[in-house]
Amino acid sequence: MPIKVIKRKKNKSDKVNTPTSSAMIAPTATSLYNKLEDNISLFSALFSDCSDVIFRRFQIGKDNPLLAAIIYVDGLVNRQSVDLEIMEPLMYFTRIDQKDTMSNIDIEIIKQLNITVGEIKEDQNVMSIVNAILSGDTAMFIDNFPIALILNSRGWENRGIQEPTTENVIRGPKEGFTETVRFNTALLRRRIKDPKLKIKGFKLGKRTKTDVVIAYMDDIVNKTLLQEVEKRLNTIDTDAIFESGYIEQFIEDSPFSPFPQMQTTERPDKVAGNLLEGRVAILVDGTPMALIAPATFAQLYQSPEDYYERAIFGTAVRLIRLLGLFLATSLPSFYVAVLTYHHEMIPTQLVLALARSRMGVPFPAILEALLMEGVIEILREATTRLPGTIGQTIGIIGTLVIGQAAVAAKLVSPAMIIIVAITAIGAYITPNYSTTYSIRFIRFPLMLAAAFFGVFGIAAMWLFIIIHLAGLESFGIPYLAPVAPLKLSDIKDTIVRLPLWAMKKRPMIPENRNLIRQGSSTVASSRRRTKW
Amino acid sequence: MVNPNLNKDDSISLWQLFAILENSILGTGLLNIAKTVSKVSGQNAWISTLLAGLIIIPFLWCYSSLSRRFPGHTLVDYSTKIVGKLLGNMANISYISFEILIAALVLRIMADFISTWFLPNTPIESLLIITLFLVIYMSQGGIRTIARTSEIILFLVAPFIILLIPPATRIEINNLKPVLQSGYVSIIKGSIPALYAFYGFEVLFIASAFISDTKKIFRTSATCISINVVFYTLVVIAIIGVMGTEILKYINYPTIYYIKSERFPFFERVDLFFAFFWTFNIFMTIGIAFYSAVLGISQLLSLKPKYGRNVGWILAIAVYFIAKTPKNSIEVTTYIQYISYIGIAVAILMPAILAIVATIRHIDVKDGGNV
Repeated sequence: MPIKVIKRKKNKSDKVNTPTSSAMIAPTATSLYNKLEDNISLFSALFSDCSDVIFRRFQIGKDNPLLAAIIYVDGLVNRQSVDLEIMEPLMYFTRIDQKDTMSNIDIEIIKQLNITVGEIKEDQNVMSIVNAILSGDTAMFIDNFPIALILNSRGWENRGIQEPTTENVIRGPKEGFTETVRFNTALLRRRIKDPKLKIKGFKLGKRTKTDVVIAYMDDIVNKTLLQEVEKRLNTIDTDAIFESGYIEQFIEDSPFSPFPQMQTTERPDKVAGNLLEGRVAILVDGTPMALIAPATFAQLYQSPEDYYERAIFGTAVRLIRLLGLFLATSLPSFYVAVLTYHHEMIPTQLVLALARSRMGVPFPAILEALLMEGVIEILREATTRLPGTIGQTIGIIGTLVIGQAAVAAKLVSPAMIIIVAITAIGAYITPNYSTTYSIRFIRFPLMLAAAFFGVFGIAAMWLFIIIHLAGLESFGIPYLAPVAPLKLSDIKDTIVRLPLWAMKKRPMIPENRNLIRQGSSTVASSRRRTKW
Repeated sequence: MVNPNLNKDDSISLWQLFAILENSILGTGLLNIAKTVSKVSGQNAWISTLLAGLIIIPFLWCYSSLSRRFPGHTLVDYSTKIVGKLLGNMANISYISFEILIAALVLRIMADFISTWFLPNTPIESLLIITLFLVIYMSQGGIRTIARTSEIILFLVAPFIILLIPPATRIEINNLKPVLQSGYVSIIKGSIPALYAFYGFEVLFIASAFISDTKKIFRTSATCISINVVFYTLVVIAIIGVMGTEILKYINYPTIYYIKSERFPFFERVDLFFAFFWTFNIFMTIGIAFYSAVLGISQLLSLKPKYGRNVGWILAIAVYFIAKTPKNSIEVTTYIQYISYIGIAVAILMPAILAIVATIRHIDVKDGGNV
């Protein structure tokens, strides 16, 4: 059918655009034209030089065909779905009655066309159609209708669900989030089969138009918290959101604090557990890392595995993590302080052993410590960047050279090597990767303080950290809760981890509206009363 | 009802009040109480200590009565309402000066203590300055930060009190005998230096403004003081029992020596660990006194909160120079005696007078005009 350019005076109140000539088709138009060809030229102007955008014209029905076209982005759509579910039924099986001429087919008939696609929306706004196309939907235009049907045909190559790389557990699910937000929400749904699990969508980033969803339990979450999260998300005004870290930086309370104020995780079970405690999760398309707000300091030392294993060991492991935190941050500074100022603080035998091991080492303790801790940081950073195959090799060579050769050359003392090894490993005892940064880098100021003022310097630095942590808040929740401010009922799941049947109430922090987690007559607690 | 000068989000729980009081009271007092008190009342120092604590408890009721009359208000808010502008401001200024003095002297004692036990070659000026920076940082966080820090420090330091127990097995009863030998007068006189160890409770003038459940302030503070009375009395008994009054005349910080007197396996110098962790408590004493002074001044000059928190920078300079005034630790001891006497007026008599006048004149928050 030839292009008919209808010459009609443009009516401003009319939503339908009617160009007087094809030259007037500007990419700035906001609503669709009546004629198919006008629409096609409009979109080809918008997608000029975009070789991945496919325009396909075809006819609907055989006898009395309607002109139609689909636009989609190659690679973002499921080809099979477009071919077999959109075009084939329309071209072969759609019958349009003889009496239905162009003039009297209305939109309802169009919507009932043979399209075997699950999700169909109609849209008139050019920009939102563009967004839909770029998100992997297929837009279908039909001649004489100033409307587009948005057909969900999304399907692209993606990494399958794999074991999380940063938060490994021995016992527990091995599923991790992937880069596709829909899969991630599905992973949540599979764990919480409750319509109260709400998954609210946002689009953030002016250019990336990233899909961001917030997930929460409608009847548990504190509404003020939810509103606060939404409010902060809506204030984000940026070009691009590539990772949940972008969002974290825009909405966190204290950007210059070294401590993460939101949990990041790629474990769906962790997110689900947190949702049931009344927190809000933020999932971002394009990254497997989900954010959980609000976070408390204690949470950064909890792993889902604590709950899967027996309660005693859950508690024991948490205490070990606390010890690891202490050693990783303060051991080198105590080493420096003791060797520089306070030989008398440690037993004589130990002092002698240390002195013997330091014999011939040319550096003062602080330089030795800074050197070694600096080298270990360099090594660690380098091994993360190195390609997998040589990473291992370099790692071994690096450690051997530093461990053996440096001691043999009397550059550092063997005691220092032990301390460096403990701190390097101890920093990774936290199940939350972002926290390792805080731990790793806190020890440098601590070491310097120890070098200048001995244990007083360490005390002052610790006080500084404690005061800082006490002042921190994450979405209105004190960071050190439930220890400070003390909530005795929440201690059951902080430093210790009581058996699950003993945790009948949800934690008070964050405040939630549905305190009772489980009844009093669970199997476990009734079994406790049974006399064997 | 809501005080415009205080942030209405700032409220603390009774447990946090307890933590603040405990942190404010525990500090340098513990280190020297046996020496200062036994100087006056000899082996009966523990009776003086007990007496000093018991004297304080009824006066806590005056604080509680004032805060029930003026919920959400600090001393600076209600003093002028009760006794008029002139006398009220005199009360405010004397309270603020008292807190500044406490902060400065405790700071000085802490610096002396650190330099004696840990850093003999470090000039105390640098210790003073570092501590002051920390104190300013804490005071800027407001009452919530202070309350939470107090809780953490309490949990952190409380376990180390266990270290006071093992040496107590070597108490010689003879060192404590004869009871009441020094006479009633000297025992009562001895309770005045003992009061120094209890000062810190006057923070109630400020802290009780952040409590919503004003009825329980007395219970909480009395519990806190009672624990300290028992604790101090036991410490004094233990120290005098182990070391005797003669040695105490020649040593400073007898509590540390007392811990040192016991040999622990492997960790030979447990006293240093105790001293290390006790510095956290001393710091909190300074910090809370400093914050009270900062808040008092900013309320006195009715500064907005955003300016008021910066009062600390100027105040820190004053505190620094006061802390530098005593030439040596002997002079510090004389200053402490003055503090003990000033404290009787400011921390004990002043709340009593204010509470009595308020009761007689039936003044409470409703009559307070714009308060």
